Amino acid sequence: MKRCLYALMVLVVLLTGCASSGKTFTSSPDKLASSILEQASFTDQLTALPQDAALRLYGLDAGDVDSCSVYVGTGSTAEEIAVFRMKDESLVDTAKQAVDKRIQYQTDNFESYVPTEVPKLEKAVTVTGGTTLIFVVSDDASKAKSVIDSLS
Amino acid sequence: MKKRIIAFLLAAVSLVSLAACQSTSDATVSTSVSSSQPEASATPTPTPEATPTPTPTPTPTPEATPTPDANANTDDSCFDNSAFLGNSLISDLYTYALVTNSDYYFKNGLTVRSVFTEAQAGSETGTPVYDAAVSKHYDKYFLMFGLNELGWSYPEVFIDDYRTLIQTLQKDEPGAEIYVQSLTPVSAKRSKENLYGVTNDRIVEYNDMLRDLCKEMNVTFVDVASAVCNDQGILPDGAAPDGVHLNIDYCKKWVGALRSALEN
Repeated sequence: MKRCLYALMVLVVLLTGCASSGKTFTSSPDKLASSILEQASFTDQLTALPQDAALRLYGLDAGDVDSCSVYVGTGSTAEEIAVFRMKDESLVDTAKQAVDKRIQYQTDNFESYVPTEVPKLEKAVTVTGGTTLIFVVSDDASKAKSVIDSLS
Repeated sequence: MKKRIIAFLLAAVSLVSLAACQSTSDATVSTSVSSSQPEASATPTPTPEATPTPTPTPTPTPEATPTPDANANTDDSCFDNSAFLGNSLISDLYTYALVTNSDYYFKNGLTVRSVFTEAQAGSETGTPVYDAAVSKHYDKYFLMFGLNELGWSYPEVFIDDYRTLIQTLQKDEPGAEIYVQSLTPVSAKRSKENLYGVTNDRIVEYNDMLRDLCKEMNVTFVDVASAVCNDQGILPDGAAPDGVHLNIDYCKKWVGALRSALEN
């Protein structure tokens, strides 16, 4: 029974942490990100980055990205919104890897400084659909997930 | 037997999910803060003493700010071949991309002592922040430390350690210009909370000592605090969600103060 529960927990964590929405987001990354900013829960003051700064932050090649919208918090929190529309679906994996690295990087940065930010990173929501990847680190992961679910 | 079959099926589904998500748990972190992750070339001498790690507890206001236009109509050639070293405030400068022709070496919670021992976040090599910076031989170094040292029992220890940092940098990079940036003030609320020694009185005390240290060491002290404080020497409400870490508008004021210092 313990094994069964363990396997179930692993499944839940994986499905929560990274999910394919099964739909294609048609709204622009700017629109998607601003909707998340308005509707999800954040404690920090988020600032939109210019595209070149956003790509640098995530280590993404401008040649792979059609458009993007990234909001970052101050140095006091790990809160962040990133929406990347890649040039084709095969490049979404590249965006996923960039997001994984960003999570590791921020965890390393915050774990001994503001440890309360680490659970936010652990519960960060990553959703893909078509050529779009949406990544949100927020104060309330389940709310962020439901907001993303409502987007198209 | 049934339970084992269920467990096996669930584990199999988990693996499929993992593959679909392409979770790169074994990926090496390469989000580089600087333009590269150079190996160490210097051998600094850190002081083996416990360092308190203040843990700011942010109580920010949820609010969005518009897209930055930090580099509009500005000449940033004064930052060519330069490096910023410091704590989480430097992280903000890097993230906001306010100066794009400089390299950044920082870690949240970094101090004048741990700069010799701690690697940047995401470092693949584990090279200490100081070593990573000096190995690239910059013309200018902009230092920003003190926030995480405010809780130290003796301010003199902070100044002694800062002196060691400057001396080591002068030895390793004899031709480089060194700029010591003042600590920035905190909000009235944050100062009143007095967590980990973070008060504006203490910040003024540290800045006065830093000013004297810079004279002694013949390096440039840059008073960035004046650029972000109000007429009472306090960080205005709304300048930082947690009363400490500046939002982009106030980071722009900070960079403006640096530009002015470099022009003079």
